[in-house]
Amino acid sequence: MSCINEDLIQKYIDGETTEEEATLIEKHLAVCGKCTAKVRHQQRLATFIKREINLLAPKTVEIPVVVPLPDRSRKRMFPLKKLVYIVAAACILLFILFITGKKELKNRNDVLFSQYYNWSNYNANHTISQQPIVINFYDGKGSVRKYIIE
Amino acid sequence: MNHFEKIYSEHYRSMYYVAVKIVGNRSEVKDIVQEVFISFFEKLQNGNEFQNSKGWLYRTTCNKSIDFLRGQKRFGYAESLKDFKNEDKSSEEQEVATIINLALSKLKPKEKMLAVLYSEGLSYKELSDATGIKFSSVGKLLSRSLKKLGEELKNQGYELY
Repeated sequence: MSCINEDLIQKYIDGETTEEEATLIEKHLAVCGKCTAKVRHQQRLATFIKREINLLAPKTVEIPVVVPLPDRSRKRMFPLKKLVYIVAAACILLFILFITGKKELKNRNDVLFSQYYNWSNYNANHTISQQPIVINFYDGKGSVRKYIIE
Repeated sequence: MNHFEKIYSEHYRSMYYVAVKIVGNRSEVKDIVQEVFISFFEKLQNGNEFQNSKGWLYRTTCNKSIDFLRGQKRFGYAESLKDFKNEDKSSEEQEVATIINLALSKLKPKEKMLAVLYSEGLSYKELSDATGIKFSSVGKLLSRSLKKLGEELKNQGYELY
């Protein structure tokens, strides 16, 4: 194995090499003083840097107490549900008003009638004014009464 | 204890350490960590599932800390010695902390994140998850970050080991 590069040395000192890599490195270190010195230097540097950076951390950390927050999900759902119910109720109300309104129209007592000459029984011996007249009366319920006036 | 409270009590201290190492000992560190946990809480409330809560927390803490520093630079706040003052430490410890913070501030954001998380004892897999760096590149970038940091400390007259 040729001399080890710094990247592999770093992996080795951090215990992140595979078994195979570690075996190869150790075999090489056994015969290469230069690489052994590099590994020792890098190991000391890594340990030193770790220690110095950890000096930045305070000795004690006060962990703030967790205050449970109100359940926002329920609050979000409630207005929407209420809105849906209100809209549904309004639609049902409008539907009922529409239906009952139509019925009211049907229940009016207006009576319609039509009249015409009964051309099927036309008597040629009589004048037009002597011909029978058919009168149909239509009440609000839609039923018809037919009268023939002769 | 519910899931959020469990995660909160287990990881608050670690996130605080990460934020204080990246940002320096400022009063905003508590706010940054609080924002991280608020985001986590809201995601849980919205039904998000986390395969790796710890990785998410580390990544979010690093990103929010870096964003904070970028914001400081954008508004022209120069990093000076007084930004790193820590009233909890003795004057000697403070001097050391100041030198280390100044050296860290010379690193690029990803290098800084890597060095700080490395000091927290994360594995390469955890470092990759937290920083977004490819697993195969962690060793390479880490060795460069540590080397650069060592050189910065030396330039400031700091005696290495």
